[in-house]
Amino acid sequence: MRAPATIRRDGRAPSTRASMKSEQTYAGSIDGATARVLAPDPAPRAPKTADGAGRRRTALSIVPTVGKNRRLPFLILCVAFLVAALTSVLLLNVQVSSGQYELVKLRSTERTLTQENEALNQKVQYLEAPQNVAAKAADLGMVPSGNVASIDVERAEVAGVATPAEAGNNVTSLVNEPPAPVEAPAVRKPAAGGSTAAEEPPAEAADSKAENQAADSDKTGEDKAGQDAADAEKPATPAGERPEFSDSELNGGSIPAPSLQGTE
Amino acid sequence: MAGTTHRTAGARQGGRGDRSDETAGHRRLRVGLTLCLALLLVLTGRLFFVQGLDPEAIAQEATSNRTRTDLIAPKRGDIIDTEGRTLATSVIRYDLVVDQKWYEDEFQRRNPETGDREDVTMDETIAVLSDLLGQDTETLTGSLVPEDPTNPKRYSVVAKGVTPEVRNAVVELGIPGMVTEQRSERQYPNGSVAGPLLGFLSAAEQTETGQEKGAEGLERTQEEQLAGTAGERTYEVGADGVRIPTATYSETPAVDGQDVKLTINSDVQWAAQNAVMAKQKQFNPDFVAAVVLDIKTGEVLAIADSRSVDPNDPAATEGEYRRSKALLNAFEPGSTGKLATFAAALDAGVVSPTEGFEVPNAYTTDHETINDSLNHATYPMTAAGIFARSYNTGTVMIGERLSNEQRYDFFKKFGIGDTIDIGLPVSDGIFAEPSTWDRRQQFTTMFGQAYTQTVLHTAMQFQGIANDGLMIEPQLVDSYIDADGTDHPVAENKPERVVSQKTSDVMLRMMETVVTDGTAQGAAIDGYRVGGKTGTGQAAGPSGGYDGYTSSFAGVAPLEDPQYVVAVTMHRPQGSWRDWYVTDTFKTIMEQTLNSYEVPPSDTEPNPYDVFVGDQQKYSWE
Repeated sequence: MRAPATIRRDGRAPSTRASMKSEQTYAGSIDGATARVLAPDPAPRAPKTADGAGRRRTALSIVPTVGKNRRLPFLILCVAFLVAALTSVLLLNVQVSSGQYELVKLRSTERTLTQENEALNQKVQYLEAPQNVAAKAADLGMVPSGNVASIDVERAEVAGVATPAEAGNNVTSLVNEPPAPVEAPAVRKPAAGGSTAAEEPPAEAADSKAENQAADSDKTGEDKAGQDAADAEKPATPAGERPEFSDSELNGGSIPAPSLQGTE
Repeated sequence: MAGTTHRTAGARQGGRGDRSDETAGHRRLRVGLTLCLALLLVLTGRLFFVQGLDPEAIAQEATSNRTRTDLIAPKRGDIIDTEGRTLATSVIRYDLVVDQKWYEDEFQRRNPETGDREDVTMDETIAVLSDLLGQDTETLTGSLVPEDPTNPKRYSVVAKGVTPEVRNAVVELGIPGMVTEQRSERQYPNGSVAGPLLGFLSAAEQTETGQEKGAEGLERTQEEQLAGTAGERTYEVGADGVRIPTATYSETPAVDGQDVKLTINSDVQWAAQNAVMAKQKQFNPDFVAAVVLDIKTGEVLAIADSRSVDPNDPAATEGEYRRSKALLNAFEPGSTGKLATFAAALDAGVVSPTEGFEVPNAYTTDHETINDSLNHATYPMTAAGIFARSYNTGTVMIGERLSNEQRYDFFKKFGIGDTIDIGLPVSDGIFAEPSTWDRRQQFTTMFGQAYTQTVLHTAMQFQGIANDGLMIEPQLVDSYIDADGTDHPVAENKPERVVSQKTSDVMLRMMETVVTDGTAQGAAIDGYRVGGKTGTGQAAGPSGGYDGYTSSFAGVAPLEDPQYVVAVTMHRPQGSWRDWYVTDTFKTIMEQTLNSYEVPPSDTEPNPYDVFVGDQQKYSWE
C-alpha cells in the first residue's frame, strides 16, 4: 500500500535525483539505525542558485492523494466480487454435495430395489421349477388329462376321442426339489425410511388384509378388539384364496393396479 | 544479522573480546553459508538428476505411483430355456467375517430406529444373530468370541452366502470388527432339471476379477460368452491413499456376459427326467437316458439322465454322473440299428417292404450262424414284418444284398461314428472301417452290434428318417442374448438328405407296423399314430466279452406329420432281458411332449404293412 503522502524536497539538481531516490523513499518510513542512514550523505550538494535561495527548504506539505475518492467504488466492487465469488462457490459446493447426498440415497434405493427384485425373481423361479409345479398340482389333487380330441373347423370333423381324466392317477415327481430361496429374516425391519424397508410381498399382503378386515369389522361394528387381534394373528393369504382388496385399491377393477415400491 | 548485532555490542563494550567475537561470528557465517551452498548443491544435483537424466521416465514413474487401476467385475450371463425360464443365474451373496481383535463384551452402537447411541452386550447380540442366521448360539459364540484373548482370530468366518437382506440386518447390529464380503453366487432354480447339461462352476479356476469359472457342462463350454469382459477404473490417489478428486479419472465399463438361450424346454425336460428316473427304480440299471428332438428343426428339447447332478450341490452326486450319460456313453444300439440297414436297402432299391422272405430261427451265411433271440418256427414274412418282429436272421438276408462298403458308406452318412457338435462333449462312438471288419462283424453291424453310438445319435437318425429323409445335426444352443437384449441366433444346422422322400414314407409305415403288430405295442399312444423301433443290444464289459444288455426304444409321433422323436435307452438293467421294456418311458415322454406343444390328435387311421405273407397274420412269438 502506498504511504498516504510523500515527502517532496526541492532544490536538488535533477541529475542527483536518482541517487537520492532511495533515501527519499525510505526517509519517512524507516526507523532505527541502518547502515545507509548512518553513512554520510554521499550526494553532492546542489549548486547554489543565483539568487542565493538554494539552501532554503520549501516547507513540507501534504500532497493530497489523487483519486482517493475514485478508488473507493473500485474497492467496494472488488469486495463485492469477492463476496459474490465466495458465495457462488459456497452455493456450488452445497449444490454438489447435496447432489452427492441425493445420489448416494438414490444409489442405495436402487440397490435395495435391485436386491428386492432379485429376491422376488428367485422366489418366482423357485415356484416355477417344473418339479415344484408338479408337486403343487399333485397336492391340489390334479391328475393328468385324459385323451384329447381336436375339432377341425374347416372340415367340421373331430379328431380323436376325448376321455375324462382318471382320479388317482397322480404324477409324483421323482426329481428332487431345488433348494428353496432363503426367506427374509423375520426380525426387526430396517429404519422406517420407506425407501429402504425391504418388505416381503406376502407380509405386505398379510398387513393389508389385516387392515382391510379391521376396517370391515369397524364398519359393521362387530366385536372389536378380539376380532382385530385374531385377524392380526392370521397367517398370510392361504394358498388358492383370493385376497381381499378395498374399493379404493380396486379402483373399479377386479385386481389392484401394481404400485411402485420404495418411491416416497 | 546476528553477527552484526554482536559486533555492535562488542564495539560498545570496547573490550578484548571484540576480535574473537568477530571471528566467531565470521565462522558461523561461513558455516551457515557452506551449509546453504551444500544444500543448494544437493538440490542442484537432485534437480539435474530429475530433470537432466531421463525426466520422462521419472515423471511416468511418479504418475504410475499415484495411479490406481481397479477391475470392474462383469455380471455372468444367465442360461435360459427355450421359453425364457431361468436355468442358471447369478445372485449377490455376502460372507460375514469378523476380526476378533475388536471383540468387546459390551459395545456401543447406533440404534437404527432412533438414531441414538446405545450400549449392548455381546450376549444379546448373539441371540439376535442366531435368529438371523439360523445358527445356534454356541456356534456363533465360537466364531465371534476369541478363545484365547491374547491371540484373537483375525479372520473368523461367521456365515457364508447370506442374502443382502440378512447382511443388512447383521450390519445394523454393529458388531465390532465385523466385515461383509460381497461375492457372486451361481444358482440353478430348477435344481437337477437339465443339471448335467448346465454343469457348474468351480472356485478352482477364477477370472481376473475373482469370479468362478465353469467347471463342467455348458457353464464350461460357453464360458467365453457367459463370462463377459471385465471393465477398468483408473484414478489417482494421494499419499494418504485418498482419491485426488480433480485428477484424471477414466472408466471402461464392464461388458456383462451374454445370456445363453437353449432349445431345452424345462417342462419336457422334467417329464423326461421323471420318466427315466421311474425306469431307473424299476430295473436298477447303470443308467436310463432319453433324448427328445424336434423333427422339423433338429432342436434338442430334452436330454434326460436318470441320475442327474444338482448343480447347486454337485458334490452330492458321484463324479461319474456329473456329466450326461446320454451324451457321453456310447453303446451298441442293438436292434434300433436295424433302422440304418433297412433304410440303406430300401433307398438302394434292393428290397421292397412287402417282399416275402422265409425267415428261420437260425440262418447261416459265410460260415457264420445268426440266431434270433426268441426261438421261433420258420415264418413266411414280409420285409416290413422282419423289421416289426425284429428278426436278426431276416435282417441279415436283406442286408447282405448290399456290399460291406455300400452299407459302410450309408452308415457314415447316417452319422454313425460321427461327431455331433451341440456345444457339449458328445461321444463319437466307434465304427470301424469295413476293411478291418472280421467275418462275423459284417453281419452283426446289420443289427446294431459291433459299433457304438450314443442315444443322441439314435435320436438323430430317427429324426432324419421322419423328416422326409432330411437329417439335421441336433442343436442345443438357440441364441446368445446381449445384456441389452440384442439377440444373436446361432445359425441353424443345414439339413442333409440321407434317404429319399419315398424311403422315408416306407420307413415310417414300417415303424408304425412295429407299434401296431411288432415288438413295441406298449409304445402306442391313444389318439396319436406312433412309429418306432425297439432294440436290445448286448453290452460289452471291461474284459471284452458281452456281459450285459442295453434296452432301447426310439419313436416318432404323430406319424401323419412327424413332429417329435423320443429315444430312450436303459443300460445294463438287472434281471432277465425278457422282462425289460422302455416303451412305457417313451410313451410318457412323448405324451407330455405332444401335450406341451398342443399337437392335435391324428385324424387318419393307422396304415401298417402286413407282417406275414398270405392271409394268416397271427403267428406265435415262440
